[in-house]
Amino acid sequence: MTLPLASAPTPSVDRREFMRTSLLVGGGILLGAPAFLRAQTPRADALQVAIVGLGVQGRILLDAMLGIPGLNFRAVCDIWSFSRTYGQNRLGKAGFKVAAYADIEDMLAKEKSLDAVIIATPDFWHAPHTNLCLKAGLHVYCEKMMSNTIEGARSIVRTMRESGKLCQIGHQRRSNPRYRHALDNIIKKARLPGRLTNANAQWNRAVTPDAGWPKNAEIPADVLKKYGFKDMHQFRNWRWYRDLSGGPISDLGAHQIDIFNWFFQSNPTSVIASGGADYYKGREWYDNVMAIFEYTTPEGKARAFYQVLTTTSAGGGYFEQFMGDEGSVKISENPALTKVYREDRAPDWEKWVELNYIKKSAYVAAAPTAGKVDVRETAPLVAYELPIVLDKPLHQPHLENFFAAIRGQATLTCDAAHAFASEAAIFQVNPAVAARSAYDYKPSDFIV
Amino acid sequence: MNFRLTLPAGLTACTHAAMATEWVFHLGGHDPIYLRQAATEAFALIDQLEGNLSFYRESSDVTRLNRAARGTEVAVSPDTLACLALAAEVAHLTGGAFDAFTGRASVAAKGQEIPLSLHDVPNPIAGDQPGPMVRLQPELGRVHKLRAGPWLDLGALGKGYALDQAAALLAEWEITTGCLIAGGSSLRGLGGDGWSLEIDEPRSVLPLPGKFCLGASGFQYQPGHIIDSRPNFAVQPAARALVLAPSAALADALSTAALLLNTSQLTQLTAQDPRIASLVCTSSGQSYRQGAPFA
Repeated sequence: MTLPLASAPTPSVDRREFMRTSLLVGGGILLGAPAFLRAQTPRADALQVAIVGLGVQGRILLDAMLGIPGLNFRAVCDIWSFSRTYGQNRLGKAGFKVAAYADIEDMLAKEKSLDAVIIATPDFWHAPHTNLCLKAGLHVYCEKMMSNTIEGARSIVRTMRESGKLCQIGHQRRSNPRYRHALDNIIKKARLPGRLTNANAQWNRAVTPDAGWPKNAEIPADVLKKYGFKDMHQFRNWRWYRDLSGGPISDLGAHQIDIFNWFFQSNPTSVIASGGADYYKGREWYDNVMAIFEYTTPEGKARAFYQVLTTTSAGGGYFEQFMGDEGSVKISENPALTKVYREDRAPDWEKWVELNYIKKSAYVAAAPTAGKVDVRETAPLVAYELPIVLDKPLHQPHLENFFAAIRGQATLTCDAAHAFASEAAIFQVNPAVAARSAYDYKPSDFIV
Repeated sequence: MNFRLTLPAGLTACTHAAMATEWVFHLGGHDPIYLRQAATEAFALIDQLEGNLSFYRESSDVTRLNRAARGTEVAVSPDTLACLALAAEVAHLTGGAFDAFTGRASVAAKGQEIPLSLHDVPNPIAGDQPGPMVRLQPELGRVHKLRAGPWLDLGALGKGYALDQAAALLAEWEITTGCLIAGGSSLRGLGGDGWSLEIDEPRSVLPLPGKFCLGASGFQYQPGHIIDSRPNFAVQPAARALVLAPSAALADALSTAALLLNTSQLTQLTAQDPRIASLVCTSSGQSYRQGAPFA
C-alpha cells in the first residue's frame, strides 16, 4: 500500500483522494463515500451571493459564510487576480464553482440572479460599491467603516432608504451572543455593574512591516490608476493613506467605540484626542491615538477612554471594559479576556450565578458554617465569567443575522442608519487630534 | 539522543508566536524586506488556521465538533476536513497508534484545565457503543458527528498542516530557499543547499535534500501527552522519535505515532514509501532506524 498523501506535499481533500480512501475507517474517522453521492446541490431557497474584495477581511468573511447553510456563492470580484484566484480556489474546495470578475460593474451586469453582495473592499470604495449594489436591487453586507468620509457614510444610509434594500454594516460584535448577553442581561436586566460611570477599551498591535506582494503578481499600473491607487504599495497598504482610509482609529477603534455608544445607549457629547504619525516612516495616518469621549447617559455623565497603538502589543489583546459603582464587565471577542468583577459594596450576586447569568471562576469558597472561620492558605478573590460560548467564527453570527433578515426571519442588528450614528462619533477623532482641541458633537452629527 | 539541524549561512530569520509555540522561518533568495513581508503573510495564514484547528479556541472548528451532539452535522473549513482526512489515513496506517480523538485524555494526562468552552460538554453517554466518531462529508463542507465522548485534538498534525500551507504561500512568493520551523518539532525545507541533520550518540551527520519535512516527538517538554488509545496494547512509549515524510503534516502525525510503534510496525510503515524514514530512541538509550534516508 502506498501512503495516500505521499504525493501531496500540501494535503488537501478532493474527490479523487476520497475515492482512493473511501470507506476507510481510521482513528474513529469515517471517510464516507456517500458524501460524493450527495454533491453540493444548492437548496431551492438558497440565497445567491457574491463577494467583492478578497483581501484580509474578505477572506475572513468568506470562511465565516462557509458555515452558514442555504447560501449559494456565484461570484467573486477583486481587481487583484491573486485574490480572485484565492477566492475561486477556496470556494471551489467547499464545492462552489464561482465566476471571477475584476470589475464590480461587469459583475453586476452579468450576474443577474444575485440576492446579496458582501463588500470588503478598501474603505474609500465602500460607499460607491455599496450604493451601486443597493441601486441594483441587492441586499448588502458592507464592512465597517462605512466610508472614509462622513458624506460617503451618509450616502449609504440614503441609498439604503431609497432602495428599500437591507444594508448591514460589519460591526460584528452587535450580533455576538456574549456581547448581547453582557448588555441585555448583565448591564440592563441584572444591573450588576450598577451605575456605569466609565469605560475603557484598547487595541494594541506589535510593529508590522508594510504589506508586500509576490513579485510575479503585480497589478498593471493602468489598472491600479483606474481604481484609485497610486501604485502597488498603496494598494497593499491603503489603511495608512489619508485619502483611502481613516487609519487605525477607524480600522480598529471603530469596533470598540461602537461598543461604547451601544452599551452607553447614547452618542458622545464631546471628544478630546491626541495622537501622531510618530513611529513609521512613510505612513500618513496616526500610528497611535488616545481619545476620551464624554457621554450623557440615561443614568448621568460617563467618560470612556480609548487607545489604539500599532507599535507595541503590550501583552496583546483587545477588549472593552464597562465600569460601574457596583461592578465591572470586561468583554472581548476573546473569551479569555472576558471577566466580571464585583465591588465590595454590591449586593450579593449568588442569585445571578444560580440563574446562569454569570459563572464563578478561579475559586469557590466552601459554604460557611455558623460560628466557624475556615483557616487555610490565602484564598483568591472570586472572579466571574460570562457563561456564553461562541463556537463558530467570530463574524458568523453577524452574517447569519444579515441572511436571516433577507429571509424575513430577523431584524438587522446593525443597519446602515444605526452604524452611521455610531461611526459619526469616530469620524471626529482624527480631526480632534489634528486640531489639538475638544470637539463638541451636535445632535445633527448623528442623523441622516 | 539529540538532533540538530544545520542551517546554511545568509538566511533571514522571521519569528512569530502561534499555536502555543514559536515559529521561526529561515528564508533566503530575496532581499530581507521582501522575505519579512512574505513571512508576515504566512504568519497571518497560520493565525487563521489556528482559529479553525485549535483545541483551545472557543470559535474553532475543533471546538464546534467537540461541543456538537451525536447525530448532528457540523460545518467546518476545508482545512479541518483536510486534517481529519489525513488523521484517518495515519490512524489506518499506524494501526491506531495515531488517534486524533484523545483530547479529553490528553488534557487529563497533562494536568491541564479543560477549556472553558468545553465545561458544559457532557461525558460520553453511558452505553454508547464504540465505533467511528465522525463521517467526513467534504462535498458538503461538513462533518457528521456519529458519537459523543472523546474530544478531537489535531495537535501536532494541525501544526504540520499549517507549516505545509505556509510553504505553499511562500512558493507563491517564489521563495524557494529556506526552512520553516514550528516549535522545533515540525520542520519543512523549502529548497536550497547545505541542509544537514546532526545526530549524536553516536555522532553522525545526515545530509538532507533541499526539500524535506521532519517531524519530532518526545516527552522533554510535555510528559504524558502522547495517549495510546489502542485496546489491548501496553507499549512503553519511546523517548523520542524523528520522522522524515513528504509533508510536514504527515511527518508530525507519524512522529507522534512512532513513539508507540514497535520495530516491526515501524519497518512495515516505512516500507510503504521510500520517502518515509524513522529514527526512534528508547528511554534506555537504544535507537532504531527505519527507511533509507536514516539507514
